[in-house]
Amino acid sequence: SQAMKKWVQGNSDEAQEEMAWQIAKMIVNDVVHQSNHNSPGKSTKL
Amino acid sequence: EEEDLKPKFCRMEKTPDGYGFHLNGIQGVFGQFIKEVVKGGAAERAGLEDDDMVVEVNGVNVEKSSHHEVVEMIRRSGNSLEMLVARKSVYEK
Repeated sequence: SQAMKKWVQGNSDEAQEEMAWQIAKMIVNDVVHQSNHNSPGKSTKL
Repeated sequence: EEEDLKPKFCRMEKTPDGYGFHLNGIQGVFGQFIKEVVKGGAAERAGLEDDDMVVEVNGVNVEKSSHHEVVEMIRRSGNSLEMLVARKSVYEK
């Protein structure tokens, strides 16, 4: 929400960076969660 | 069938295509099992079947070993491999 305020008021580089950072974190967390959930198994050809 | 209740001792020689099976494990769960046994491959000829649970590799119990550890043991085994396995249905009893 701090990021959102800055975004709305100033649209400063800092606010954009903060927003991009938050979104990036959300995406990475989602990917990690999905991959752990979908492939809990390991398979090795021998 | 009575026969199915016994663990199987399987001995196989490595071929240019390897032993011809996949070792599978589930993260956070003990136990490695056999999948994708290749038709006519060394593993099939030795009697391995899909879903067999691996009990021992070259005489060493691997029931509490990680996937990585068991893979390493098999790779370090040279050109032949001995495995003691049990049918999953039997193992889980």
